[in-house]
Amino acid sequence: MTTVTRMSDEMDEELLARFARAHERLPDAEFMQSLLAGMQRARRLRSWRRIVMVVVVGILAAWIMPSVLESTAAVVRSVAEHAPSYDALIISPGGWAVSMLIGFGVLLRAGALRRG
Amino acid sequence: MTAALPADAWAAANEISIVLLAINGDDAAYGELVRRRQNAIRNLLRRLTRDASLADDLAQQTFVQGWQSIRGLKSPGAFAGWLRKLAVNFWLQHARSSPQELPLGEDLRVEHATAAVSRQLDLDAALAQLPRDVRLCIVLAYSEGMSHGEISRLTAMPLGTVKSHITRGSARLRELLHDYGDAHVR
Repeated sequence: MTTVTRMSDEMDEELLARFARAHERLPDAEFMQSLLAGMQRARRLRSWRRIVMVVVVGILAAWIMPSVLESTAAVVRSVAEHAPSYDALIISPGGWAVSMLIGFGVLLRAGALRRG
Repeated sequence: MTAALPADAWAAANEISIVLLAINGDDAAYGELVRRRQNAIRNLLRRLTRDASLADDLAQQTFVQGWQSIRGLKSPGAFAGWLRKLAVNFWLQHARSSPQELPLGEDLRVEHATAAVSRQLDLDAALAQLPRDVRLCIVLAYSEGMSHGEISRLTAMPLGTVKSHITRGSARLRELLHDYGDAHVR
């Protein structure tokens, strides 16, 4: 069986025939068996990589979480001290509408509203 | 679960549906794609490498890589071309790590070949005497039926270079096959 199905450029007919004749039907049993073993190895490797990744992320999260929480609390305290009127703005109808628009924009940028 | 499908059902299914299943993580579907495509990919790599064992190794790498990255395939109809590109990339990677081959015009002259080789020379042996990029263009054009434009896109070579490689490579190939007394090419 030849794979030649389309030829839009000028080609040497004799070479084309020579290539078509060289296209062999190859035995596939051994190849498939070896490939399945390769896929199995790749699958195991991928599982191990995921496990290692989860462990590393967990350790990192546990390590940096206290400082992240501390910094967040400091920022919140600072905002509350310097701009106490923001809470009134956020719960007003205008603030609510602006928050919705910002949220919509974030979802759009993240591609969460795309189809498929 | 499609893994329990009988072989007949797989054989009758159209390739786009199978590719879609494979994209969605169905390993049995990917197995069917391998069954359908392994012959073409192995033949392509045999033409490029002239070494059946190396060709099969590269084909294995191609299919494993394909299995790992098929989720990224945008169009199921492009599967065959995508797989071929993976195979060509694996071969290029391998060829780049091997010693540089002879440039076109300085390849082995017929009179330098031994008598034993000259009688046994086949298409693959003649191809092996072409420089890497020329061989790639010739194989993609003659064995895979790709147009010059498609080859240019797949290999990232300028169209003019592809045309020149094919013209000069065809002439050299004809010459080699003639000189070695190949009965099929006159």
